[in-house]
Amino acid sequence: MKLYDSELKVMEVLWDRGETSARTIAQVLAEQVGWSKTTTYTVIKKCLDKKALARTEPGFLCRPLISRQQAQAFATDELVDKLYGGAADRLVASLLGRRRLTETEVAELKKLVEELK
Amino acid sequence: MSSLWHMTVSGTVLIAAAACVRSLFLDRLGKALFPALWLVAAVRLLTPVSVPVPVPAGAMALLPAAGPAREAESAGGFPWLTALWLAGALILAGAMLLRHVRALRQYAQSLPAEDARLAALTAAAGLHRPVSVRVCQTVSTPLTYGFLRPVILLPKDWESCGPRELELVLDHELAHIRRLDVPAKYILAAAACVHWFNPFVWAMCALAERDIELACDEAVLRRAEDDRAAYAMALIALEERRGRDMLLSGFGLRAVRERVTEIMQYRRRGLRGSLAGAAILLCSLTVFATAAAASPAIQGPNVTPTPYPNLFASEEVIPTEAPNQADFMPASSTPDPIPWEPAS
Repeated sequence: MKLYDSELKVMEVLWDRGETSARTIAQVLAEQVGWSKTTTYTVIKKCLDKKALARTEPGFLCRPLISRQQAQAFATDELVDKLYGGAADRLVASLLGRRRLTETEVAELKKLVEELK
Repeated sequence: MSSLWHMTVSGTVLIAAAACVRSLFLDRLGKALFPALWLVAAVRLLTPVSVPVPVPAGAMALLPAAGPAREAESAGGFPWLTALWLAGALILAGAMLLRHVRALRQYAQSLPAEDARLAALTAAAGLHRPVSVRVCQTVSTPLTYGFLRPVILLPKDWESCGPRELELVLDHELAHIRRLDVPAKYILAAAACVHWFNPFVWAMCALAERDIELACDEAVLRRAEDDRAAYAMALIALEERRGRDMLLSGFGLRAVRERVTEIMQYRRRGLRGSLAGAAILLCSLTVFATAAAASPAIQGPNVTPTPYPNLFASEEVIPTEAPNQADFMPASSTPDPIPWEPAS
């Protein structure tokens, strides 16, 4: 299980408050980090899929299935979507594509900067 | 379809002209000019109605005549061309939107960057729209999104960036916001969807993408002339760690090399440069208007009604005295090569 920062944010609410309804989590996080209700629910769903929390009806009560300590071991710095590399917003550019530079090319560019100094 | 054809012809003329200006004067004129030229072309590509501007009769003859595509349409039968075009446009628009919405959903999960330095820098920018700086684990380079409430997203390890670099990078993103590049990119994307069959439009998008970055670089350097090398190095460092994009192609090195060179050779533009830029932009706008005004005349004599309702039938008003105006346009319109096309 890998937990991303966004998912840890949801888990933190649960660790602080114990069993909490999805609605309350959304309210807390709206204030804390400015998420919309939809965003919070999306992240809760991800935690649910990863079995980091359990959700029971009625009222979509969420309770943590892993502890803070366990989660810390799972925390990851990895990028979710290496493929996009933050270029997905670039619409047309993302379709045209752009490859990553090789090491030699990067070295060449650095040399260029030195030359033009 | 004839309306689309007019948009294609005059839009392509503007693209070709802008490409010429770019290859001749990229080093010599203020960089803000080039995105503006692409935007004029893109808006022309998306404007089906003609702007009624009085044009001297002689100028009409200089404008490109409609080519062979129209005849295919008026031949009757199922409008295959229209259907093919529409399918392509819808598929492309769908693909772009899907990716974009997915990206936006990711960005929405970003967390606020609680840092006094960042807050001070954005506040100092003095923008009218509220700008927030957030950290997103799923991006590898800083980026800006959102129009009314713009958001600057930083990658998770932004703190590893030196204080001066951070300032420069943030300045670059603020320049995007100030210059309204987000809506500009939407317009370019829309032009690419509608004109997916036109390689000139794709070239325009690729160049516009680069020129938007160059214009922002220039905006940053205007206030940080002595930091050229630091800025160029920060850019290279960002390129080094960026993720792999969907399609692999060779754009990478050339575009970055161009950017680095332009950064290192940054010079302040004098009044003369600004005036020249303004004049070129004015020319481009004039072509925009005249091409639009001329289109009804081009459409003139030999338009036969299509048996199928044509979704894209021109909304242009066909002047009643069309035959007279058409005198300037010989009816035997041979498919003209597009004027000003750069000899590749």
